[in-house]
Amino acid sequence: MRKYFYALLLGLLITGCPARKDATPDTTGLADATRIVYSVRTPGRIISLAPALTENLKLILPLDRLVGRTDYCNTPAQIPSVGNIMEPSIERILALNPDIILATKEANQPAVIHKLRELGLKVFVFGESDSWKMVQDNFLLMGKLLGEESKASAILSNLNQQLSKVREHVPVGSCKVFIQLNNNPLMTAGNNTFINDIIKHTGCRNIAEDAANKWPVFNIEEVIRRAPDLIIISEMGEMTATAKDMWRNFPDIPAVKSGRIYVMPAELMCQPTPDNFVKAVSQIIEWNTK
Amino acid sequence: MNRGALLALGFLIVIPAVALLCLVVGGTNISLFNMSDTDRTIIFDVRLPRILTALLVGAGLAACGCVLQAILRNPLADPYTLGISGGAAVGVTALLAIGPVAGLVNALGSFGLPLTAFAGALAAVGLVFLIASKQRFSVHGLILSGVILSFIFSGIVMLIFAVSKPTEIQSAMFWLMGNLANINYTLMLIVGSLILTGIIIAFILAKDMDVMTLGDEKAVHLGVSPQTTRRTLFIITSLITGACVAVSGIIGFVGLMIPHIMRLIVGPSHRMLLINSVLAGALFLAVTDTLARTIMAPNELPVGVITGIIGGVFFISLLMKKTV
Repeated sequence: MRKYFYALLLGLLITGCPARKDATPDTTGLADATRIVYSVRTPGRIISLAPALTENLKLILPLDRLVGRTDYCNTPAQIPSVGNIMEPSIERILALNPDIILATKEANQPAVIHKLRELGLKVFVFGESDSWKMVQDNFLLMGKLLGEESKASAILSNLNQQLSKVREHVPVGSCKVFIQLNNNPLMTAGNNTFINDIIKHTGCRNIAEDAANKWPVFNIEEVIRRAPDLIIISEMGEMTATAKDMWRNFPDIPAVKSGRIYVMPAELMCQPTPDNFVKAVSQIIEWNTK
Repeated sequence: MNRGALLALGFLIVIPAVALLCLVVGGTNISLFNMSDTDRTIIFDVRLPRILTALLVGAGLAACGCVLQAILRNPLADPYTLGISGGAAVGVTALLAIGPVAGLVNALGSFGLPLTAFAGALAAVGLVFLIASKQRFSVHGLILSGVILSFIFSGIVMLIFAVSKPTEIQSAMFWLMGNLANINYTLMLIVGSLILTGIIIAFILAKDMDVMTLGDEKAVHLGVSPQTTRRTLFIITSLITGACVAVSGIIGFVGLMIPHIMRLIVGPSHRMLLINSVLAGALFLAVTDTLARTIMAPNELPVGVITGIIGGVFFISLLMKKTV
C-alpha cells in the first residue's frame, strides 16, 4: 500500500492540471533570478520545462528560439523534447546547449533544477500562477527575461481590454459553477487556483471554493446539495462522455435539468497563460448567458 | 451461549443501527422524517448504495483474510497476498492507458473499471492457480507464486504509468488507494451476490479450516484433504476479493487486521471467527467510509487511509492488553 501511496504522490506531481503541488516554500532559489536576467541579456537558445511556459513563450516570441520542450508541450514536432516534466533528460538538455532553461515552482522538481544549476546551466524558476494578477506578473517577467518587455505589456493591455469587454456581458444575479477535472475520482478546483479566479471573473461562484485544498476530490452529494447552474467538464479524451453521462443520474441538479453541462478544452483551464484566462472567462460568460 | 455467538448477536443488532446513522450523517446531516427532494436523491441514490456496498466489501475482505490466514497458516496473509490486487491493478491501469485507444472506455461506460479490475483479478488467479498446481497447492507454493506475481504485476503497472499520460495515471492512482464513491445499485447487486455466496461456502468449510491449521499431515489423518480444501478456498477467496476490488479498489487493513482482532476476542475456532470477522469487517468499513466522506467534507478522503490509521491504532491497543 505504501508503495502505491508514494506512486500516487509521484503521479500527482507529474500530472498536469489538478495535480500541481500546493504552495511550498521556494527551495529552488528564485532569489537569484534577477542575477540571471542580467547575465543573459537576450537568450537565444531557450528550453521550456512546462507546457504553460511554452504557451507564454509562443505569445511573445517566434518559436525559433525555443530549442527544447517537454513531451506535453504543444509545439511543432521539429522542436526536440527533453522528456516528461518530472524527469526530463539531463543529458538531452545539456546536448541542446541552452542559454536559459525556464521552469516553474509548481510543476518542476527542485532536485532537477538543482542538478541543472550544478552543471552550470541557467535556470529561471517562475512562481505560482494562481490568479489573474499572478499570471500577468509571470507573463511580464517572461517578457523581461526575453528582452521583450514592451511587447509583453502590449499583449497584456490588449487582453485586459478584451477582458473588460466580455465582462460587460456578465449577467446579473448569482450563478453557481461546478468544475469537473476528472470523474473518478470526482476532482475539482478549490480556492487559490487559476480556475477559481477564472470563475470569479465571470460573475459566477465556484461551489467548491470552501474545499480544504487546491485540487480536492469532491463529495458528489455536496454537488447535488449545492445545486450548480453550470457544470463545466475539463476535456479528458475518451472519458469525457462518461463524465457527462454520470450526471444523468441526478436530474434535480439545475445544470442537469437545463442541460447546461459543457466541455472546456483542458488547456484553457489547466495552462495558466493570460490568453487562456481571457478565453476561458469569455467562454463561461457565453455559456452562462445562453 | 458462548462468547462468539453473543458477540455475533451484538453485531447483528448494532450493524443496522449504525448503518442508519451512517445514512443520515454526511457533509450535511439529513433528517429522515423531513426530507426534501434533494435529500431524497442524496439518501437513496448516493448514500444508501454506498453504505450497503461498504458493508458487503468489508464483510468480503474480512472473510477472505480469515480464510487465507487459516489455509496458508500465515498471520500476514490478507486478501491481496496472492496477487489478486496486482492483477486487478494491471487491468485497471491498462484500461485507463490503452482503453481509450481501443475505444474500450466508451463501450464499457461506468462498468469499465469494475469489469477490467475483475478480469485482471481472474487472470491473476488463473496464473497463481497454474503455478501453485505444479506445487500441489502447498502453502509455500501458493504464497510464493502469489508474491512473485505481485512483483511482476506492480512492475507492469509502473511500466504503464511511466509511458502514459498524467491524467490517466491519476485516475488509476486513486483507484489503487481504494474508494467507494462510484457505486450504483446494479453493480452492488452483482458484487454483493458474489461476495455473499462466497462467504456462505467458506462458512460451510469452516470446520475443515480448523483442521487445516494443525498442518497438512494431521489434516490427512483427520480425513480432510489439504490440497482440495486449499484449492477450493483459494478459488472462493479469489472470487470474493476480485469482486471487492472491482467496486472499491484496494482497501488495506480490513482483510489483514479484522480477523486478528476477532481471533483475540472469540478465539481460533473458525465458525465463530469467520462469522464475527464478516460482521466486524462490514461494520468497520461502513463506519470508516462514512468518516472518509464526512470528516473533511466537502472533500473526500481515500477510505484506505482511514482504515489504516484507525484500525492500526485500535489493534495496537489490543496488543498492549493481551498476548497474541
